[in-house]
Amino acid sequence: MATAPGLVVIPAYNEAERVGRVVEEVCRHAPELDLLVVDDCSNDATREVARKSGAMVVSHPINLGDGAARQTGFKFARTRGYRRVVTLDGDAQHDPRSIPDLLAPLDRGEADLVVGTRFGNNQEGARYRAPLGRRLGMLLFSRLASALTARRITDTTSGFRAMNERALALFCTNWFPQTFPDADLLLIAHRAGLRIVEVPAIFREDLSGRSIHSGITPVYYVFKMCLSIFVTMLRRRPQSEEVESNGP
Amino acid sequence: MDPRLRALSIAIAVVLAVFVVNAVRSRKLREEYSFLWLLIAGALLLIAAWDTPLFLLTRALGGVLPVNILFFAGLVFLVVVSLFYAIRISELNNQVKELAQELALLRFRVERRDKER
Repeated sequence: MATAPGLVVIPAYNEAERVGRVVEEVCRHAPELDLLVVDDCSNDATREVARKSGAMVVSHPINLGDGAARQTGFKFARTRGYRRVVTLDGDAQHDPRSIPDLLAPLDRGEADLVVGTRFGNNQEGARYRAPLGRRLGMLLFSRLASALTARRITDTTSGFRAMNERALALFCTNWFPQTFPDADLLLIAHRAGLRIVEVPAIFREDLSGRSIHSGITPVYYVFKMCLSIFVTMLRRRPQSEEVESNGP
Repeated sequence: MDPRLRALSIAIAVVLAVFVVNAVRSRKLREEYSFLWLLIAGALLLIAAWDTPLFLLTRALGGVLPVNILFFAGLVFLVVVSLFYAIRISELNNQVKELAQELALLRFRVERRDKER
């Protein structure tokens, strides 16, 4: 299935300065893939910049958050018959040169969901540095996710992911978490019977120093993730027919 | 019960009931949300007119003053109502999200079609 058409989904909120560069890099390193920017009702020129750089653009009429923006991209992919989707952030954090590495396990039929991890490669400038608190949180949730999914997961917060039709069908339903789809998403995918594989990917430092994880958000993040993982374990597993019938 | 308190209770119950019914009449309030508030107005009226059950309940629960039981019941009611509204708001959030996504995707299709023409 190496020729299955693929779509790159880039959720973007107020990224006018960087989204153009991301689109351009994706076009250069993965020219065979179509490109969709989901503009989450930005206040700046994100929409125009993305369109001018050659991407398809879908714009939310109201701000819905990162999770919903990704899901809009998945719904777009499903209704248009794309069989593989790669998501990467609009802030240029994920290097598009890693896209072929993410797609490879899908093409070999070894995985339904591939996660690009920022840990596990030694390329220059690609090693991840973060404040201690965030590193501890990431360690906690990666350990938790590894234990619950019975496989080694090192990077739960990575938004650099590739998926096939099976994962896409699941993520278009209300199983997909609306805020911070991270460790809980991996757990849901695992419980739905999807095969998850991690591959090393190139991450860049956040260029602006600005992050969604600032202010009160880290406290809420930890709370949300613990609760979400807990209730996911309480729910029955996603059924395949339910996933199929709830599609768009 | 003091007659003044009784009169006040009855007045509040009647005003509440009239307000709720009027809100439903002018379609500001949906029928399913009016039920709880009419129930409260009814309960208030009942207690004002006939307070024996309140005194019995106070004795049964070991309360000192009937008014304590009233406050307690009111508090529990308000907590339940706000939880109910939080659930409704979450549902509405989900519905708004679905609508906005659908709208965004449809707008993309319409704009593309217009361009092709």
